[in-house]
Amino acid sequence: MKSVLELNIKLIRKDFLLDIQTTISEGITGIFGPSGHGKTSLLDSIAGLTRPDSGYININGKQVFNSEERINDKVQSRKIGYVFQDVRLFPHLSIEKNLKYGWNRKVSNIDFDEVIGTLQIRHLLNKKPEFCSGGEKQRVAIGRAILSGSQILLMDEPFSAVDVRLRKDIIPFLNAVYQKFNIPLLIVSHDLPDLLSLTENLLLLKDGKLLAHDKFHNLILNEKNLDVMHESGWFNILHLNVFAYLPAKNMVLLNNKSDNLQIQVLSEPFKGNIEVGNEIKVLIKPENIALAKEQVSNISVRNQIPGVIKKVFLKDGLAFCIVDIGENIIVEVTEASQKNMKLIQGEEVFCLFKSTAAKILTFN
Amino acid sequence: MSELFTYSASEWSAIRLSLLVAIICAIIILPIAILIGWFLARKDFYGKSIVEGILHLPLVLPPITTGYLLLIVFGNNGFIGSFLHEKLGIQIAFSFYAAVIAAIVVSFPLVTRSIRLSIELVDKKLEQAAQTLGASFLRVFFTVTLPLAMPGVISGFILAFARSLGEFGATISFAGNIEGETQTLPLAIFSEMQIPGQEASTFRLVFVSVLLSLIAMIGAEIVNKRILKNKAG
Repeated sequence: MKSVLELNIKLIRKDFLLDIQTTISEGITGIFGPSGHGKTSLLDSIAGLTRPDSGYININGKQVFNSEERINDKVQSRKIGYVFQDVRLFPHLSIEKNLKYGWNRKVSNIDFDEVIGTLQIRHLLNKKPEFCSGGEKQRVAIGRAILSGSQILLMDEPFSAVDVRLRKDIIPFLNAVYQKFNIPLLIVSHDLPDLLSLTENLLLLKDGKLLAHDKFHNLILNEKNLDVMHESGWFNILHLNVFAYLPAKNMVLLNNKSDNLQIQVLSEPFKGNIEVGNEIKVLIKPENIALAKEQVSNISVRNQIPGVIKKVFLKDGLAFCIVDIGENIIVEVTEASQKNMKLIQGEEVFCLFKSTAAKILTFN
Repeated sequence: MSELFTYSASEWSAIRLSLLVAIICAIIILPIAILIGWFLARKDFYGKSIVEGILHLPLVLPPITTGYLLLIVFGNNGFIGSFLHEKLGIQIAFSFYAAVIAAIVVSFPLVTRSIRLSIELVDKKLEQAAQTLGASFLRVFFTVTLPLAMPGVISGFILAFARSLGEFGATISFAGNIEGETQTLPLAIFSEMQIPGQEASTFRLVFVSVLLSLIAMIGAEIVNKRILKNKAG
């Protein structure tokens, strides 16, 4: 994939050092790390609101910052869309004027109607921000950033600006925005499950340093990464195809591309359209999977997937087994079970989980 | 009763002059006070406290002292006044200009303070957001900072107007008390009070003075209420 952002920056503060070197490609990239580990400073540096002490930043091949060559493009000329954690709509302007603030009708190739349609904010145009809900304001802020002709959209904790009950509502909009306008998204969050619902391409930050930048199923092979990720909660993501849909039985049957894996999940409460042949993402929490050394008959658990243990990490009486079932998944068992059953690297196992433990996420 | 409210030509002239001085003063002061108010609100520099102290000086100086200092600077022998007088033939002291300058100098700290405070209350994060949307420094100022600081600007305008209406000490020492040229309401009242038997005229002028001040203060109060309402909403 094309790289859109090349970073090599150092930012020194009194009690804090941000030191990041990486290349970010098109698509959606999640930046995950505990609070106060430099995520917002990183976004501010990219946008030009904070000046790094050394290094360079290239956006789509253009140098916008280089400490040695004394290049430091102004914020307004970087064309970086920034959706702030506190949203920052202009309180004295209507929603329509907020949206059109950075939009140049004559030059822009972005269609105003398409933006407000995608984000479902047409009914808000004449309102002032103070009369909009948290989720509505956030969608307006996203629309405003897209309309300003951004090359990249930076989002700071987009899941925390709204009511906890509604926070996941933003996810389909972000997906739609990415697909309609093809803008690379860089999303910062301290909530791994929310991030994973959007993207498996993750950058892990710890103490201002880049721990890793990889796909989630590769990240889990490293104990250091697991340490950072597991406290936030997580789940496995399986990429599967629908080969049968039985609405009367509330059941979807899925297989993987090489057809050596078949599972069934409930079609409810997923509200999207399910069609045979579609690719689907299925989420399963590591603690909802059990391991067996051989296939178990006479058991109500329908899904029994063969795999090979690639790695085992022990932590606080738990054993995290990384099992390759065609893609890597995490299975959480107790350390006692792991010892008893001799679950070690290279062992062939069956991953058992109930159909009700798996949830359909979204279509790609 | 109607005779009591029949204003003489000289009384009208004082009222007109007062309004004229107050309006011109407020109009001239506004852009300067916005610039300096913004500068003090948003910039830190070496010796900022000293600059602030000097700017606020007319607030605490006896107005007559301010008038005297203005006379030293703008009088025909003063270093600006002599230049204007000799090269351009303009006499500042004891003219209408002097009345306006005295009003400007005396109200300046009040206006700057009001505008500066309201600019300080404008969230810098909104300015940053405007920048990320591609807005230049000037566009950010005129579309975000200034509109959000508008209540302070309006109350600053009213303060300049009201303070100019009441200005006495600096005016009488720097502009003199010349009927039709520098004799504003307070000066006219002062003159009438010196003459026995002029109680009716004094009353008429005092009445207008109270009325104008009241209108200005009610205006300021309405603006304040709007600020509070905007904040609460």
